[in-house]
Amino acid sequence: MNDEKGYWDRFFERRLSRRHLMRLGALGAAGLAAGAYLACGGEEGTPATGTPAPRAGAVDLSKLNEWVGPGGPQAGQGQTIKLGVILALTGPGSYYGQIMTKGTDLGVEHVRAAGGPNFQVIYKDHKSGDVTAGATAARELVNDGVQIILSSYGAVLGSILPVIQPAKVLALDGGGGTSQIWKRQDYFWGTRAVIPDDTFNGVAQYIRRKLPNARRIASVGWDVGPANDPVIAYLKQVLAANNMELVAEERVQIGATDYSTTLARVRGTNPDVILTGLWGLDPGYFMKQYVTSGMRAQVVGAEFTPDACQVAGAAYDQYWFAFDYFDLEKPFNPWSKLFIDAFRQKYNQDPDFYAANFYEKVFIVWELVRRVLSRNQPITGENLQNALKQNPTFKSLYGGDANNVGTITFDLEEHDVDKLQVIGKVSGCKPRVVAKMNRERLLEVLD
Amino acid sequence: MEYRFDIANQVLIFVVLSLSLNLLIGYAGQVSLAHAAIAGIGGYAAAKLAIANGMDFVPSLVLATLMAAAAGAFLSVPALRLTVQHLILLTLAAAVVLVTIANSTRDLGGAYGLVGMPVPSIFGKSLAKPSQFFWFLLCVSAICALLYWRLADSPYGRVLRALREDELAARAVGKNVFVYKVQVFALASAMAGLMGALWAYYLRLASPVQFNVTQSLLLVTMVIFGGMGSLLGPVVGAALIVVSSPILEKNLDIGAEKAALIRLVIYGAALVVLMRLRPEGLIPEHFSFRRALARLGLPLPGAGAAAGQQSPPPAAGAADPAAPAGPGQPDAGIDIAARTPVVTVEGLRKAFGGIVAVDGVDLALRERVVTGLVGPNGAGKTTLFNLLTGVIPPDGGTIRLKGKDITGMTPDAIARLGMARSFQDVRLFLRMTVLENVMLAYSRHPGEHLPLLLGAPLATSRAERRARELALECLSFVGLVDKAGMLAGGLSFGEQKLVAIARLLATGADVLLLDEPISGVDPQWVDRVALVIRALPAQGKTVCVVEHNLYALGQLADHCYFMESGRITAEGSLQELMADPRLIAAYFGA
Amino acid sequence: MGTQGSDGIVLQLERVRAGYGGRPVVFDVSLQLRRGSVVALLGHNGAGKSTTLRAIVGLARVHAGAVLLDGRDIANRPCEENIRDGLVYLPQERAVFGELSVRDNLLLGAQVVKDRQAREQRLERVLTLFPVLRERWAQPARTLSGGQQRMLSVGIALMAGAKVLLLDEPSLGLAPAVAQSLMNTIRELVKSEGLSVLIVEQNLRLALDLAQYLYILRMGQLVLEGPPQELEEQHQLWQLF
Repeated sequence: MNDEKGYWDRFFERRLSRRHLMRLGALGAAGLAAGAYLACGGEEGTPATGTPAPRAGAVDLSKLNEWVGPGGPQAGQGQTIKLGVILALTGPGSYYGQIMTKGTDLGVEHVRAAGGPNFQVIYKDHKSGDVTAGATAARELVNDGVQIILSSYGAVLGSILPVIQPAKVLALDGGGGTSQIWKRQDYFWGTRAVIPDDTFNGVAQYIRRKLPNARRIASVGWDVGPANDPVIAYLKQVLAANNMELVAEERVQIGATDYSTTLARVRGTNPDVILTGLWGLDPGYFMKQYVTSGMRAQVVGAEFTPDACQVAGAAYDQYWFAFDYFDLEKPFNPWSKLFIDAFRQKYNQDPDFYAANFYEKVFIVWELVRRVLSRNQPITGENLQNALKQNPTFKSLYGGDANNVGTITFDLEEHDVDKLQVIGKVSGCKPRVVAKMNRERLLEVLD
Repeated sequence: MEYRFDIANQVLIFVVLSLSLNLLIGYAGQVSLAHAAIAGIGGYAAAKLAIANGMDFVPSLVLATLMAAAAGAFLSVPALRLTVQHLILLTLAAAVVLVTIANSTRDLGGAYGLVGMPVPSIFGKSLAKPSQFFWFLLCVSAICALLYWRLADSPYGRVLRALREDELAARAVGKNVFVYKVQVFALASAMAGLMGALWAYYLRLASPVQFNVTQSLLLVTMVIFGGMGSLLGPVVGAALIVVSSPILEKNLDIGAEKAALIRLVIYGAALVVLMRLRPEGLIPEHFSFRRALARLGLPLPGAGAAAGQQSPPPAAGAADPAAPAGPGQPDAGIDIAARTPVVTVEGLRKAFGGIVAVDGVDLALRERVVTGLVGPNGAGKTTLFNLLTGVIPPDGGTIRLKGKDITGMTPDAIARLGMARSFQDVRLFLRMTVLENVMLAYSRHPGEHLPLLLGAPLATSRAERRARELALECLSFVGLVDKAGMLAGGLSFGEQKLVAIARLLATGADVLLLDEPISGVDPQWVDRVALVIRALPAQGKTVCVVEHNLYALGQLADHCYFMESGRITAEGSLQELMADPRLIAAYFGA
Repeated sequence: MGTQGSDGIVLQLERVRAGYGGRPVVFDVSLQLRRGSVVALLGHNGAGKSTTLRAIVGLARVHAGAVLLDGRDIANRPCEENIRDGLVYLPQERAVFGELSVRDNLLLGAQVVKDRQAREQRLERVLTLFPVLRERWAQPARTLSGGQQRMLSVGIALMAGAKVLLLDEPSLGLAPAVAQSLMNTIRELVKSEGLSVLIVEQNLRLALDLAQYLYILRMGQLVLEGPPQELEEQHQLWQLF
């Protein structure tokens, strides 16, 4: 009758001692290990780099100087310049980290081959969005004397800016760009379109042409708190101008895999088109569940990556995407073609938009270095940024035509670029460009 | 150099975070998976105050600390009545909720967090660089560490550990466990909040990932790795874990991408190896550097009277005089009825489901009388003790102690009013030393109360000396002085029973309820214990004993109640009771 | 069941040193238990009696020496194998499963007994010995009083169909009547089934009544042994330890 305490109470009082806590700790470690596994899982989408060493000479680099400028000592040849790169090397976003690493490495290789400086790349891991890791990485790079940093992930940027701004270190982001919230930040410039905002005009115009009856638009996007607000406000404005209305605005957790409640709510609003602001594997999971929801609305996403397509499978055939896509089938210009060939040869895999951006960024950095050296100034973040401000136009893999490489131009106010963007469709995980556009309007409709 | 300061800053922040978590887990036994989230309350508060209100560095730190403390105290309220496994779930849920709120609240910056915090400065001096931040952080951490040390290695820390070992037993010696739980949650949370605020100022942002559940688990890992309940353990654990990743990255020339993965594998492996080799962490709770040195054959500074070495042998010699003939009989002459009742029980009733365990019991424990409670197994004797001491509430009836109605009061309140009890299943604090077990019972120790501990160190150390003397006296009463330095868990069952009696004596309570004090005690000590109990009335104590050893009870009890099936069916001297054939049959069967 | 020594010794300890972790508590203890006999292990609190029993059954570490069951060394063998071979141990604490009913507790004790009839028979004997268990048959064990839980744990040990029974203070917390009838039952089992019992008991009178041979431990070492009458004649038993 001494049941003043239940059996389990006693059990835990007596037994849930150190040993059990150790197990709890082990659980924690297992959790960390699971994270590591996920990180490895990201690799599956991208065939391993198991190819033999690059066959030298197979890709013709002789035209490179013609396209991007001269090499030689006055362009930094023989100098070693540190280049800090902060990426999602581990964690759920490790796909990005790996493809960006490959683009950067190839860019460094080509710059050297074209008579540019020897970039010593220092990679740091922000663990797919860990701000502590991002800040620590930035501090370590700054302490190491690095003057230029290439970064990715908008969420991490908040932790990098307080480090680089007082230290006057230049940072370029080709992963997430400036988006809306990181515009006009001193020492920070985005080399990608403002996503997804810059696609809105082109997408709305394309929908009007292809789906003339579509009026009701729903939006499903990552919940990034207040950063959502300006995006939605701008979207409403664009839709109104095209005689459409926003009927649902759903926000979902980053990295979510279950969209059943979201889909149920969206269905209630009976939309004609669903715009998604999802990245990573998330659009894959979303599409997989969307096709079983019975809805007939057209989904237009903000990204295409092969590994998300592997998650979705055949469901991706109903997916359209709109972003600053890098076209592999019909290279924009001869430099793009060279990049694609070289990348395939070196890594035995297709490059993607992110690889292209990071490759391109290395060349932007080289151009800045060349300008600073031509004035006999030391390579500092401050001098590099001044060189950028004096002439914000750079050669690009995007745009151009069969004979001429393209260009991108930074907006000196906003610190972003208006990049060539496309609308694409998918069949069997093969993407296909159906329209080209810029931030203002649809440029060309192919299909 | 800045690089080293950067790592040092991270180490300091995580050291203090894990020290504060150790107060909760290692000392008070309150496992929290919300510690990083609580730190986050501090971090977000500081960030918000600095960005939105333009508040200065130091005032925002103070406010952030207070807010985290309040949150901790708030969290502890539902935790009061929870068992450890439920507490883990509760704190996990709290952590998830807090992080979700941060993630989805516009005013808190959502997933990107609050960015754009100003550079902290103090007395007009900027703390922008890691090296500048370091000295300030070092001072704050030192203060936190001193406070931690003062709390942990003190009578206050002793009560916390008792709480961890056995809450009911802690209440039985008069400790108000609720107050302690709320205090320790608030204190640990305050420290965490302060560190969270500093962490935010250091990164110049407060974002959800800084303070999520993974971070909480990392903190728990640091504490376990270093050694729970040990003063220095968490320092070592946190430092090793924080330092390991830059070291691995610098020294393994395999690129950050692989190093990050390998680091996780190394953590996991190290934890597994540690669990096998040092299950109590790198520095276990009762680790002594002196002993470790001694084992290595090194000379000890000022060696000698370390805890519990030579003291007079307990055995035959000490117990000599009265044994074995028996310590004499109870005073035949006392007039029981003339003594004032100290405890009066009227119509006490308790049922568990359909079983009526105590069924309308009336009894009186009279001043300076040893009352025996006899009866078959399952008669309701222990339940009666549980009712008397407030462990379980009665269904009906009243209990008065010295005229005051104590029905429905908590065990610790009743203990503080002067009625204490021992347990049939002993309930010592097993991972504490014998001496600590008994010292805990010393009542009105200023060192067990926060303001006095921090504000009156002299009174505290004086009281600590008194408590030690009293405890040693009580231990020598039961002949266990030589075991004073041993862990209670290392004692045999019989020895534990004796320590429990010593602990009960040390409470200084006037009314002592002893539940089977003699069963399991070896025959030589039976007489010794009987002698000790017999001597209590002379010291003004009123005693009630449940015991099956009638030989011993015969020596002890002035007066006996016979209890069967939840009722008192007879009373009188033991001889009188045992002269009744019906009672003999009820008790002895045949 | 194995080869039994011709001299009828079931359990034998040879210079056993045992303890917990690296620290020995019991030093060079040798003792013998013959088939169908009761041997008592006496000594003061902390003398190492419980540790000796736990070392035999495999719950404490044997650092040196041999523990022979039917002539086979079983030192440091897993506890469950020993139980399967008929070596059953009753711990000093209340070892019951609080959330299980009294019935399930008892049947768990008989898990190793295959023969259904033998199981029923034993159950009947336990319930006769402790009638209160029959009354509380379907209730969770935690609702029993301390003494009743003690009865239940003794009952569980008796259900196992032991060949050798190691009892650590079986009378602890039992009312005298119950303790006495427990001793009678043990005596009966020894006589009828050839059970061998090694008992640790503080209640000297019960122990002396029951045991044919005594070992006395002090500070972890054997200091004296012999039949009870002999020892009683030679010494004041109290003073032995």
